[in-house]
Amino acid sequence: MIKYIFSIVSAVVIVMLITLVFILPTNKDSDNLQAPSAATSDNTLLLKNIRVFDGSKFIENTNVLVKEGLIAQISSSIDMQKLGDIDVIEGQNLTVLPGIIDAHTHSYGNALEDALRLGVTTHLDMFTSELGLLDSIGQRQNLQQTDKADLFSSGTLATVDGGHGTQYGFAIDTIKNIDEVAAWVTRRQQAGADYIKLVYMPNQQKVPSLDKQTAQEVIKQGHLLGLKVLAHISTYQAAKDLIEADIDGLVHIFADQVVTEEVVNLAAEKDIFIIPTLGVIASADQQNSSSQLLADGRISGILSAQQKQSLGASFEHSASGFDFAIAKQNVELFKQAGVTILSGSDSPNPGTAYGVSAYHEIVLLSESGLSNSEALAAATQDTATQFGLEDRGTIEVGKRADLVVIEGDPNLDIDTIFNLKYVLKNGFRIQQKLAQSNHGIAIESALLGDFENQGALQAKEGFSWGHTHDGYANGNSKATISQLDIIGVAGSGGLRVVANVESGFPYPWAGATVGDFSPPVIGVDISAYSHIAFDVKGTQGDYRVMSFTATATSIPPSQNFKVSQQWQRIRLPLSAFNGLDHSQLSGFAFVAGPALGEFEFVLDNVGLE
Amino acid sequence: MNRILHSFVLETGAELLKAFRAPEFIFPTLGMPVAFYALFAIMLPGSNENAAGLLATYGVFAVMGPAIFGFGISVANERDKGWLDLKLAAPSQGFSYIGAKVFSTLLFSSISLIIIYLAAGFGAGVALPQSTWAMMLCVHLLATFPFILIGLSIGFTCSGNAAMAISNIIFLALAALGGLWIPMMLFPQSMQTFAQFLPTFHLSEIALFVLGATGERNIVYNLMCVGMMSIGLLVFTAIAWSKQRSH
Repeated sequence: MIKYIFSIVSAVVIVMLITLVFILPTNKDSDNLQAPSAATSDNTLLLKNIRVFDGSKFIENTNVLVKEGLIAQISSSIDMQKLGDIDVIEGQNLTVLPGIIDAHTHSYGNALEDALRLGVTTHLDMFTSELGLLDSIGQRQNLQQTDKADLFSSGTLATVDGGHGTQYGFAIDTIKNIDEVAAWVTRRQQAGADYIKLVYMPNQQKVPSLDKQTAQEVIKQGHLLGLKVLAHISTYQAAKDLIEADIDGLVHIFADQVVTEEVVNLAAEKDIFIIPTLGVIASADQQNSSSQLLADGRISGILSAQQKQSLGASFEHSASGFDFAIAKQNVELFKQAGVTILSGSDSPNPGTAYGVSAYHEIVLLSESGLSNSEALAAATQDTATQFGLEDRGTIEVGKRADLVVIEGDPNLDIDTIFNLKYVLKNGFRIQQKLAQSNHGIAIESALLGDFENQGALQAKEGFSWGHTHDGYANGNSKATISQLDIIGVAGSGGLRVVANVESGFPYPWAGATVGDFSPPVIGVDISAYSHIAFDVKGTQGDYRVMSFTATATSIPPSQNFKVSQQWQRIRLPLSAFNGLDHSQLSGFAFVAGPALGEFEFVLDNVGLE
Repeated sequence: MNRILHSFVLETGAELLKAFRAPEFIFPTLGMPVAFYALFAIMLPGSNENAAGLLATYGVFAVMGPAIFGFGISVANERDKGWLDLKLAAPSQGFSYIGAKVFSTLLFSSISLIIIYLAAGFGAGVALPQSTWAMMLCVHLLATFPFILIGLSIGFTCSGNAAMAISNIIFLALAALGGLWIPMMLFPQSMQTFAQFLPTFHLSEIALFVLGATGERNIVYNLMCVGMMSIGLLVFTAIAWSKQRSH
């Protein structure tokens, strides 16, 4: 009897232990992910039976194994047994692309997070603050988990005092004469620049520019240090000058005239590359293609307030020399001659946004003489090749596992690139959903100011009245405000604003603000209202209302209004502030500008309706 | 050899039979760990987030009971009553006496672990790769051995009544101060330092390592500490055992 007890109990317990291991829930059948396991690290996974765009061509129905952040194997047959317990993405009707490289950005604020969320895994910045550039070099070399895209940058750009690039409200290192060029280029390299960008805008009177000799010297000195030199140009003549001077690449296509055969052939012969930035040229030409992107349900849900705002913004006026049709035609002509075309968005200029505009650019390139796979290569392999980025840009064994998985076949329909399914950075999956945004509480009172009582300018629920001018952005405009008893409508109280709009900032402004701009700015929810309305009279002219979203820092969405000597009531629909996040408004500004001069106006009965 | 095995089988059978006939001993040791786990990892609000990490430490807690109480008290009692002397005088081997206790303790530890793992997997919603489940189970089962040595040391050195009290004190001290109930990082620094001297701390660190839990840990150091403590206890037990025999 006792003999059997031993055998039976032992057998029962051992069987139970083994059964236990098999019946306990594993990660796959539970979304309650508890702790990362030691056995399978998070940056190891298999993309199974998937269509691959490897950077130049499509491969149907293959498998891509990612191991510890690197691409380990690409093959049509894969031994699942050997892989063991591994995260698998079933690739039915999915396509995996190399992480998108945006070859023309200005990356500040949350640029790198916003880009990565949409699968733009590398930013080639063409002018930003040089603070932190050296850190970004370490960042992009490791394989650690990150929520930011990798950054390469030119640092600041080569320009002159008052030239293009100096208008953004922070001091930059300018070139005063040709003798300074060598030292200036060395300073860029020391600051961590990966290449040099110069601004060359000759033959126009609006802004000063480097002259031809100095531009040539920048190219020469850059090459001496082994750096590529790229140029911002906007005209045919400027492009021609620099192609002759051995520029490595142009960061825009010119759109003032159709390119000549001579220049096309010269560009091909010199083997330059062009980053056309068609998206921003379309925006400058008032094509309004970004509103479609804003409304696209596939991506609108993953855009941050900042992205929505810059995408919804537009250039104030259609600028001459930016003909979108000519731009596309020029791209096509250069392409036919064999000039390398790369994809860059120039975000966050008005009408573009980090991440999303890199995809839009691919579509625009595919409409400009590039095949779908050529357009994709322009945003992946070709850019990596031209910029010497050896660890990325293709899906090959040993490359960094920066990958974008989309639904559909972009070879057949390029629009499928907006069907984002997964983004991988260094092999880690990127959360595409936005972190819970700070919804402001609903604004309590629709009345923003009637200026009847003493202290009407003081804060009410955090909202207060003040003055605003472009002096904050290194402009020269000035403004003062005062509350007076009898100047308002029908002799009541009103707000008198005296604005001196002076030149110094490209879009000068001066006027009055109402809102909560003292950090931390949370903003209020105004979605219950449809209009902002106010009474105004004063110096005749064009004015505008600017709106501010608490979490966005780019150009504020604005609407224009006219003022005359007579009182009028202005009602502006809130929906016409393109890109304003109605759930987190931080305030409005009522300003004169960009026309220069002295303006005096009176505001009264400002409120939401 | 065959005779040793035979007597081992019979001894183990007798141990098990004793446990089944006197379940009042075995129920608390099996029930307490899972009750504590259910309280701290399932029922308390917010506790669920760390249910996997708590399983790693409560698994160590689960194997402590059977080992310390099973050995400490029963060996001391049997020694008190002269039963041990009788056994040693009988043809039955010392090995089979200890071996049977070790084996039946392992079986009880297994049952204790099965219950707590089921509670974790299906009650607290812990999901782990199969290999991790298996590895952690092995770590917990192996964790029984240092506690068996502690139990034996108590059994060979204390009288029956003293063994009861001392086992309880050691059991509670090891569990609480070793961070089995409450994560170590919530302890003040001095207590964290003290925990370095307890096998429970190192065993739970090993289990947490297998789990891949967050936090820095030096697994080689933990393994070495457990190894050294086990060797120390083994020597102590051997001396106590030989004293017992010569007595």
